[in-house]
Amino acid sequence: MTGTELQLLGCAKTFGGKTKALLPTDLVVKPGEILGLLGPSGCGKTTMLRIMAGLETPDAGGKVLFDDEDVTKVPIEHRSIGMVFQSYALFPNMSVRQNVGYGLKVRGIDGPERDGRVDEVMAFCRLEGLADRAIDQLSGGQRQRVALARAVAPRPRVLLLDEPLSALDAALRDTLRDELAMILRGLSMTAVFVTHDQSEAMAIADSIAVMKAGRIEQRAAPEVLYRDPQTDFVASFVGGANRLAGRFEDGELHLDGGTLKTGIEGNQPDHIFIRQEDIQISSPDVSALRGTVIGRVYLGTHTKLTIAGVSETPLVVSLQGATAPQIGEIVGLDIPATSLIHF
Amino acid sequence: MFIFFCFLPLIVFSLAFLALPLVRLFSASVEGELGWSIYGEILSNPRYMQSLLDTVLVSLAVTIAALLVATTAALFLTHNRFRGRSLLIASLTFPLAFPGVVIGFLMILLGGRQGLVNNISSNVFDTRLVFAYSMVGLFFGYLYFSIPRVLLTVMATAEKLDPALVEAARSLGAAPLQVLRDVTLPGLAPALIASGAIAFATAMGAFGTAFTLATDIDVLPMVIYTEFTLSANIAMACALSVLLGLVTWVLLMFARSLTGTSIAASG
Repeated sequence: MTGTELQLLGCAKTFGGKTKALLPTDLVVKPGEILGLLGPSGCGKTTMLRIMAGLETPDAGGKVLFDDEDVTKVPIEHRSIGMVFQSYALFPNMSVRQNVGYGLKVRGIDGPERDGRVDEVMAFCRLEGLADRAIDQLSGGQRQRVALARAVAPRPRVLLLDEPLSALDAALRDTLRDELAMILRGLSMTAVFVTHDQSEAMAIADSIAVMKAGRIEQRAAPEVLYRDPQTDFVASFVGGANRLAGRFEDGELHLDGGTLKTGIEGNQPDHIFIRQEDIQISSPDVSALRGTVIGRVYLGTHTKLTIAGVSETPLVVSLQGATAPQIGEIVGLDIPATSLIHF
Repeated sequence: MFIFFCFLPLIVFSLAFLALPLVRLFSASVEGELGWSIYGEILSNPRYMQSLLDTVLVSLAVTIAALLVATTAALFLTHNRFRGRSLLIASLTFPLAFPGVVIGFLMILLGGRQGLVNNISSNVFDTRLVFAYSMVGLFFGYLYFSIPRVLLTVMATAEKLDPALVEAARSLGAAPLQVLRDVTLPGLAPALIASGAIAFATAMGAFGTAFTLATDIDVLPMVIYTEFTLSANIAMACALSVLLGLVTWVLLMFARSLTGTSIAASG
């Protein structure tokens, strides 16, 4: 892999002397790796990105390294990063070509060399034929690709993206997400992007750092994060897993809706998690767990059921196949002990 | 029909306050002894033409200086939060409430024969420094009441500029001056044009300050006043007024089209 290794060493950020946006954090992004920073708003992911960019300085003691070079005190304009902003921040007084070429222009690269590089990057980001358009003549997806092309044209050491898809319509987002993933992979550039959408993180990233309240909860490849979450937060935020809370006794979890055999021995937790697609619906007569359907959303490939009366909070079940129970029906739930997630 | 009633106030306003007085002013200017040749008389009179040129020059200088000072201040005030900031902004707009006469007083207090500057320079450097009664005094007086107008308009626009635009330019390697030239100023352009036009037009027509500072100053509004009150030459006063309005209008149109094309060319 080509690219720059990005390292944060003990980076923290405190705003106004008291608001701790980021607790001391160590992080390594390998050359060419695409890292997703995933978390709810206010978790510190954008602050971390801005520290990498040089738009914020870490609290004393924190260090930012590009390969072995300490860039902590290097301002953003000399750090050689490419950045895609949430609002895209395209220059409205310049054409698409001038936007994409701006980073080369301020570096004093002119004439055929600049034109050649701009054409190359625009072709790569599928912007052919748009060179002379004004920014306000572009669609949302095109704007996003112009922002990306502008950021990568000067060949930055690290590419940083702040919620690159959140300004788009929901209908467009899925298509453009896959397209962005493809372009980023083709660049083979060290990249870090911020998102609050777990499917976005999974689709684009090689590795995801899940953040909560200023710290990284877990850092792993998407499939590892989904199959083997290490904290409650990761289980519920990334996998959308259901929390089952009750009283443990001899390997059985006693819930409002019945008893669940867990097969857990020794150290017994007071709650466990189960993923939405690992719950099967069966007849209430034969099942040890029962609940009432209070919500039903048909989504084509699957049906999303909300079931009350099983645990403290309603359970969400993702059901394949056409025959899902109706609202108000009492159903039985089969939960295989092997699918349970506990810490 | 409904649309017509919506437009009615605009039509009434345009007729009563815009068209009618202008038409009357123009017709009064050609009703004198000279008739239409009064405009030829103005163009061939060096005193009138000199005063027109002086008026345009001092107004241009005031506009440029006000744009420079106010834009710098507006950008600073937009990007920095500090104790007393709102008080400072409120007091910067203070001169808006003053009539030209008061501003004239202020200039005399500052740069007059008994003024602060003269007192200091006489005592410290042993040189007299009096500028209140000249074009320099007028320039500073006009600048004083132009800055708040420009400042308020530019600040309102600067606060709406997406801060990510500046960050984006910096991330691409642009130095502060390049960011200012390529991002900030183009973003402020509409506000600069609008407030610059107001500053220019106000300076062209300002009278009170010039009247207070009087002695050496011969700006066009002063000439009109003299023709009207002292010489009782109403036709000439009207013709000069038409000229003042026309020149201001043409220059503003020219500035607008110039900046308009330059924005279009860069976009």
